[in-house]
Amino acid sequence: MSANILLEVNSLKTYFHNEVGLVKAVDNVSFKVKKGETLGIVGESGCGKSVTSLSIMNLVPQPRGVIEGGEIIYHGYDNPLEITTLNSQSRDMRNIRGNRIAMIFQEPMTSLNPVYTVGEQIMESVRLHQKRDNIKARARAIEMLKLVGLPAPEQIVDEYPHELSGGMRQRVMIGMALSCNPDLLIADEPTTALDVTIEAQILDLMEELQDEFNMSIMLITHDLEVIGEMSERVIVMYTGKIMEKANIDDIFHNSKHPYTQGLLNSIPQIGANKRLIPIEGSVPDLTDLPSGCYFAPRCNQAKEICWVDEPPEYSITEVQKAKCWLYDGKEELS
Amino acid sequence: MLNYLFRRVLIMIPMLFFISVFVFFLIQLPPGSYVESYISQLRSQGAEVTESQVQTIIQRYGLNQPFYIQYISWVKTFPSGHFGGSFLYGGRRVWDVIAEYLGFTLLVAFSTQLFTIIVGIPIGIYSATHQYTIQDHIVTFLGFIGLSIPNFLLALILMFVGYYYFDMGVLAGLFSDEYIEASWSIGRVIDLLKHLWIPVIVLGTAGTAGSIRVMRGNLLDTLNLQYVQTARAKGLKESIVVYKHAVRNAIHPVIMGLGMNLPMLISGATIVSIVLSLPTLGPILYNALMSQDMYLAGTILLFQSVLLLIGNLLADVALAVVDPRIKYE
Repeated sequence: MSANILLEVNSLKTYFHNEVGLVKAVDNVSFKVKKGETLGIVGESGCGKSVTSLSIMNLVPQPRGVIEGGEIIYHGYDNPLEITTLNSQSRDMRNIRGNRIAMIFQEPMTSLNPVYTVGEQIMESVRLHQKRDNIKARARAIEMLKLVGLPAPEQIVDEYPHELSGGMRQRVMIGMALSCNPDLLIADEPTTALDVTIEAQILDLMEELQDEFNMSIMLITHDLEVIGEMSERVIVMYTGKIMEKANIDDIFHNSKHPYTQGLLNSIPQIGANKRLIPIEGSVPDLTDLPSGCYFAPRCNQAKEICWVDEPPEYSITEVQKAKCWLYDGKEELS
Repeated sequence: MLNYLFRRVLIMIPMLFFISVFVFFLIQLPPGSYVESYISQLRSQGAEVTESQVQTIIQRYGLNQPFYIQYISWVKTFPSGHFGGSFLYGGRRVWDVIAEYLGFTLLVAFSTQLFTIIVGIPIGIYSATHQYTIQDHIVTFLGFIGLSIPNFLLALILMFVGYYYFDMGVLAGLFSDEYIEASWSIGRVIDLLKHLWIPVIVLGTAGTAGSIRVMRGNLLDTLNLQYVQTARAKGLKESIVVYKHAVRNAIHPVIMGLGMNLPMLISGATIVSIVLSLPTLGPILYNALMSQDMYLAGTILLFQSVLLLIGNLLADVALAVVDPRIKYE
């Protein structure tokens, strides 16, 4: 194992036992996050990208959600640590959560607790993980608020979330997440609920802080453009499975999987006078999936085999993989 | 905040004025008056009552006066703390009659309120954090029984079970026979506590069951909110996530309910007080209404209104303490 891997996810299976039946929200997903890189995970809603991040945090909603198989290995300590074997409430897991791996969420308006000051919410993390007393924790909170570019941090530290705007709250969330110097920041749709101008500011801020803190970012979004701006490598997910993995340039200019191509054709480009082509049909019901490739019903290049057998992951190049029968004959990975 | 409190208390004065007019009006609505029911009672016992005697009594109590004169003569007695005379108690001052029962009434009411809080809220939290477990189902089942069983029936059942199966003697009243007339002593307090739990359980069951349901439902909603997940993602213990981050956001309706509960504990306790022969205001109000003892009934109703206003004020203050978004300017 090369030394620059921070997190390794192998054949992760996270299932939900719902009344309507078994939902395989994440099914046989494998990827690695390198130290200091930004890994983008892209896909439509319901593709399992959020459940993947909750699995890494060991916060899959119980009792319905269960990690049925696979492993998540954290390489930030001297010895590798397998997260799925830890109890969600165990001390080891809580020491990772918020400390080594931090997370920010989609809805800045609801991600902060309305009844505590933003300072208290940052200080809570600092006191917990860095064992600082109240005065030092407060100093750290003010330092973080300043770092994320909030004006008058000494004042904002004592303000309540409802006194701040959405963009400011997301800055607070980022400050809170980074207050304990995590190795990995999981950002689950961090800019989806924000204005476009604020979105650009937040993304800039994240990139800036990434260098400063030397951390990896797992950026989860449905927005390919955000991915394009931020990530070096991209994972495209669909119905709980990884469809394609590639470097950012290959995704945009040399994508192999019909689903990735479909996604690219459906985003508008300024100046380009071309018609947007939506992907036909809709995401299948996760409790009633087709046999064969899950994308086959919507795929314009589907062959007979696509309806019968699930394709393995083929290796196109060293760094680009696609789970599609079109590349039958290339090296099979799974 | 202090300024706000001062204004809230100030507003209570005109509110109480309107309430007093309305209460007095309501009490006079039924046909007849105390004197008529008194005279018909005398006649039925065979006493001779002449028309001139009737007129004398009516004159003496001022019952032939128009509504507003009667009202004013009632209100005039407020500053001196009399609140008029009670017909039922042979012209005794209403305040003296009420004062005799007020202490125990408030004791029972506040004990019940305390019971509701310290039993209802923790069980509601437990029930929500253990949703769909067997314990949750048991709590829910008991809660529905607690809500639906009539209080007086529960009182009778408890008395029956205590008497026949646990040999606890008659569990009525707030004191054993030997302490009823005794002066205060440690023994009397202990005896009081020995009796107090029965009315507290009987009166508190419905409120507790209600609090459990509201706390459970609201906490379940809150636990699904994003900031609870944020708190978990920080690496906090689940108990801190629940108590510090979720409960404080879920407790509002329970506090509001408790504020409304205070006067209910007096008027709603009437039947229970009769069954358990408690020395509280409930039965006094009942008798006063039955015999149209208007000053007594009116004053008790007025006191209840004061309790409602105080209860609401306390609830509002508690809400402001719990939630910084609530600001009183």
